[in-house]
Amino acid sequence: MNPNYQLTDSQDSYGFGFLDEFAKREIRRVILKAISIPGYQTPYASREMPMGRGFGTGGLQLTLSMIGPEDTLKVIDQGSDDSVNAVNLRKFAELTCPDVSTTESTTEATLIQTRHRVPEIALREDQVLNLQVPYPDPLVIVEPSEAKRKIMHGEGDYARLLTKLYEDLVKFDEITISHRYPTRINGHYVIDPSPIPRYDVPKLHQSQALLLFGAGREKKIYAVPPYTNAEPLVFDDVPFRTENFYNADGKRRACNRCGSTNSFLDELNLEDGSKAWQCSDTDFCNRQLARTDAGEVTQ
Amino acid sequence: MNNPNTALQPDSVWSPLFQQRAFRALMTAFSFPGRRQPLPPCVDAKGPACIAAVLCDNEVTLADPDHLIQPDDIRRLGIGEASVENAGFIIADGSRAPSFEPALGSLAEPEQGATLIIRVASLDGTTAFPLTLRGPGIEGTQSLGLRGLHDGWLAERARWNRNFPMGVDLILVDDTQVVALPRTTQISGGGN
Ligand SMILES: [Zn+2]
Repeated sequence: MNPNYQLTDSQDSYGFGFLDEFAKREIRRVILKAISIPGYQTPYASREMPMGRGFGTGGLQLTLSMIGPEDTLKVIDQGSDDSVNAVNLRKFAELTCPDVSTTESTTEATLIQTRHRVPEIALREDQVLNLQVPYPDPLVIVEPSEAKRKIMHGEGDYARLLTKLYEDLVKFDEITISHRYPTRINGHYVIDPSPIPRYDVPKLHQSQALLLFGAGREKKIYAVPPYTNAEPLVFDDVPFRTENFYNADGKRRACNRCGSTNSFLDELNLEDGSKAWQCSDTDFCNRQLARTDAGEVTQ
Repeated sequence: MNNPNTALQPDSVWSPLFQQRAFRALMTAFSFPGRRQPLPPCVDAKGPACIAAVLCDNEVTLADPDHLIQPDDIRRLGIGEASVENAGFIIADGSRAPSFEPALGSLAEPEQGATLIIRVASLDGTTAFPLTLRGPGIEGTQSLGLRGLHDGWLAERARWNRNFPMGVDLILVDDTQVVALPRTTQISGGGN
């Protein structure tokens, strides 16, 4: 997407939310079916957006189909509100949805559109998380035919996917998938939870907030409703493990900015060749930092 | 054609703002089955017609065997009419037992299962017909009291939904409120 994106004159006459009312209505219908069939990749007719597919058009279409003047929108990319992608998507929403407030605060947002992360702070019932999805179908790696995959999904038949994971296990002694960990929803459909790290997968389980997944290129929408089981595929004798951020001495690394030891950390390569670790969720990091600063002032 | 008119005030069911707000009520209702959600106020429609205006247009089919929607509104929606057996959306009077077989979808396309919009007398927490709900969207259990839903609906719904992922999704609506019962919701209690 062009960072200096401007609506053309003809697009200027578009209604609130850029999409026409028929496009919104179709996505709305599909969202309700996706919630009713948790984890099912519900097909829809993805519309052309003024940015390439792969720039979060699936997530953006979810957001635009539901957003209203009462909403406060937060857009994050890899945990950050300030990355070029997040800024552009937020600007686009501001341009096409007058009256909508935007925020960088996870707690103030009613709608959160995200790529690659689930916020550190647990979401509430009155919030909705729209995740951008590049590859929606976890069965692609074992079955090229979509018609056959749809039947396998319908039957809840993931034997071949489990076999694939087992091969990984035999080779490496653990399942090495770092992102997009296949996750079973409500005991039936297995989803690709989008390229979130394993660290975020437990946050899908029994979430208070509705979680929606939009794949613009593949034209699929799926949902994990609130209070719904989301279980990473595992074998009985091999527990699911999240990234632990231990250093060589087995000590949990802290964020070098806020000092937190309970957040997902990005590894940074510093100019002097050394490495440092920092919260990937910038709002969480800022909050921790503000708390620390406040604490120091009062002491 | 159900092409919402931006010139209309948000208290018209045909305004984009009403439809956006009503959709959010529906999305919340589906997210939390059994919890009553108020529909935004509107001056020109009630209950089932509000839901149809939000969800239906010429891209879907609708059956209204009990004639709960005014002919003018049906024309305005621009929907394709269909037999109850084939319709994507069915509007029905909850006080009478259902006497049709809705589309249930298929293993590969469960979303083709119908959405049933059922008018009931009242969703106001009466205890005359207490139901206990479990399933996705519900923390533990959710109770639901309502008036004007014939027992036959629950029996038929259980039969239609016995082979997940196939099934039907219900929207119960009175004049001003809505409750969703997606196919995943297990219901016990009630009149029997
Ligand atoms: Zn930090």
